[in-house]
Amino acid sequence: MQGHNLLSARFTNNDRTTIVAEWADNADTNTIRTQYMEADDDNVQYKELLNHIDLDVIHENTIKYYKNANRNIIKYMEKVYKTSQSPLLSDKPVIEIGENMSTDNMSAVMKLIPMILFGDFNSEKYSESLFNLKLAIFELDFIKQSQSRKIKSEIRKAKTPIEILNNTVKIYNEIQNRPDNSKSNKKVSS
Amino acid sequence: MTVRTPVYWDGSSIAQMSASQITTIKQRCVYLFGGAGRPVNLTYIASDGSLRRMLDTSDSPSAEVSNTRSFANNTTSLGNTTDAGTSTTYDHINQTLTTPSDPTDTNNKLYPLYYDGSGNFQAMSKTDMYDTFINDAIDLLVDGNDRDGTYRLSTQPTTLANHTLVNANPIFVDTRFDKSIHGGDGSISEILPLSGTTTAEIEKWYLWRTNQGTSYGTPSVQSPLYINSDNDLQSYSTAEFDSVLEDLLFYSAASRNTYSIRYEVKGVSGTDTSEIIGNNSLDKTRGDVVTDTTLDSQVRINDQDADTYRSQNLPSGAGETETTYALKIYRT
Repeated sequence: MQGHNLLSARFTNNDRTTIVAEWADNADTNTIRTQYMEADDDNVQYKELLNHIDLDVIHENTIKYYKNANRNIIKYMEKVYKTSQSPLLSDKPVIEIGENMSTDNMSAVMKLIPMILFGDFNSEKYSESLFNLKLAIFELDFIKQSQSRKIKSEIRKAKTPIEILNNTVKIYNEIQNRPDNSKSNKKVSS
Repeated sequence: MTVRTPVYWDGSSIAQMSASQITTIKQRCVYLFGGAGRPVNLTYIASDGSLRRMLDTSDSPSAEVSNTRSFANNTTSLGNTTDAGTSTTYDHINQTLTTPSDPTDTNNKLYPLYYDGSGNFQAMSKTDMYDTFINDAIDLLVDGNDRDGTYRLSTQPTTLANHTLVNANPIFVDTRFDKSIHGGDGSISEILPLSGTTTAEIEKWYLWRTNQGTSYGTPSVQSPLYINSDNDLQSYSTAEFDSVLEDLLFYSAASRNTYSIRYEVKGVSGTDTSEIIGNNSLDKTRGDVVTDTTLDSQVRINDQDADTYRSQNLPSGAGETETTYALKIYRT
């Protein structure tokens, strides 16, 4: 580019057919001009560019650019992920439930149980929560195995967590007390 | 094809032009094309320009998914972003043609004299003029260099040496999904639901015309001899010879088979490539190529507002070129 010094040039696409070059204006080196061109031996601009930079260097610049870009993308995504998942963004505590549940989280859940079971339960407000509890109960293997349609029906119709739990324990005890289940030592006290 | 060697008065005798003097006449033709009378022009138009449209594509976010329990519940129903899912058409370049009439040589003495090798001076025919000067001048004009009166693209919005801006409006704007929406500023607490403008401008391209005199300055030609209305030998004045050249050059550029000058936008690589039909020369790129770029990755954003847990995949990553377009000049 007339009156300019080449700063850098790299390919912009995987096919390596398009190049972006940055030039500094000789009259004002703070003015950087961007030029896009076809990497075509017949292209006037490309031929001029190769007077300033070797094709191998353009390829090297491209590899460096994308390596750097990929590194930045990974860093950025990690940052977004961490921030996005952070409890700091939530106005409620986040509790992870599962086999690796922390003792702190377990303590928090235990403290909630008496309130949930024996406190005033607003079945209208927490209808979806109640529904989720029923879904979780029906996922239990002994409930799936049970033939007690009546008790299962009671669970479906239950309006409070304690109703659900009472009927669940009934089924559990029925199964535990079957003769063919004598090997089991598990008992649930009522 | 018959190339002639015109003769001129060197001050004391009739002499044949040198190759260099003939080349200068061809360069004069290029200079004349930079004048206001050129018949092939490009203009900016609001829409429906006659040159092929270009598409600016951007990635689309996935649909937003939400529930009232947890971000994890969004996972199974969360889709991916769509690469180049939205598209804006740019068809602002319009080619306008004037159609000069085919020059006539009524008395067969309009054009310069040449020596026929048999002791006679003879006026060149129109075909001789094309073969000797005009065809090569047309080839110069379409060779891809900044030739007087031809058009090119540039990312420069206000200043480009030796060029005149055709219109301050860009003929193409490359946009991408605006990455700053999801945390460029480090704050990502209120992203979803998306609202307002979600794209960012990356680059703009403008239409420029190369100024008269850019290629060869103002070439000063040796004026050849011709036969005037009194059947005497006479040297053309500069204006007379320019007029002779312009009539042939402009008619050719507008209408002459295989030596007309035209422009077209061509998708040279990527997803929206195209071919130019009917070009009789290798089409040459004029100025900067246009790149339609998108982003090459996505990032999942979780955003909780009270009991609503929203998740959405948004475009992210580095730029990737979907299509490269070029303004081409060629003859047909």
